Amino acid sequence: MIPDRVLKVMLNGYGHFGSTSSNLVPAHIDTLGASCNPETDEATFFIRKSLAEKTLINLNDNGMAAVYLGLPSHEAYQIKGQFIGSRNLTAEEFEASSKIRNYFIDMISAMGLPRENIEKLYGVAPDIGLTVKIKNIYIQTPGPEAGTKLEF
Amino acid sequence: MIQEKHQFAMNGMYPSTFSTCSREGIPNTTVISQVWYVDEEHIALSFQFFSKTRRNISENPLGYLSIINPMTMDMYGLEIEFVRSETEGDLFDDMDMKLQAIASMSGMEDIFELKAADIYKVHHIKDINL
Repeated sequence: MIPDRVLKVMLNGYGHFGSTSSNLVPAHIDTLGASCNPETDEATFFIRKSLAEKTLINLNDNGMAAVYLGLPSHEAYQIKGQFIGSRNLTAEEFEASSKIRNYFIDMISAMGLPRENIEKLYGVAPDIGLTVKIKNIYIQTPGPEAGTKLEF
Repeated sequence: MIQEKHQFAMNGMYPSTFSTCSREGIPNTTVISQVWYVDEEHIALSFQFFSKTRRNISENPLGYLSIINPMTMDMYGLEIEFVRSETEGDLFDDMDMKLQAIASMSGMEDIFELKAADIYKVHHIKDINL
């Protein structure tokens, strides 16, 4: 069962989905929200397929995934897992993504950065989900606990 | 290779994302506060913690870095390779000073400590069309 504090960051924060090619060249793509089935330890991360060419090749090749999950407070976790597959998003997942993306557009523009440019990053809806079976979770918040494995 | 437009994305105003992998191919992705321009073929990253990233780089020197110009939100993807670490000199001092400023602004003075300036060669830069 995925710990509540990890779920909170997964469902409310930002993320970066990492993968590796067969010749050990890493890649990543930004996530735009996530959904989770805590009972099965599976999570689906929302992405834009047009930006995910290398990621999809890597995942279909070896299936190894790492996802950085963070909040603006610096609280962060690293998930390691096995890619299960990609799928279309549900209406609920689109709605969840929209909420998160609007939150980040408002937050970043409040820092004085141009809103229309932030929308290039967060204004476009994701179109597919990458589902991962979570094997390990590590604390990645800067500080003495960083790198600690969370039991679940 | 590294142009002026890329340097605007290395000013520390917007976090960058860095991915590495172990020799077994297990990826690791993290967020870093700043990327330093060294010359038109090299950048530097701060080594602050004995982290999974650092262990991975010791096993496999290849990494992938994405940087964002905070004003335009233009994103660039850099394929990089670790070259060496520096623990003294102008670059190290400059990085140390800036890191302390970032730490102070984010309330992390006791957490951020520069152990080395890690120099990477940039093999390829791609404009990411958002």
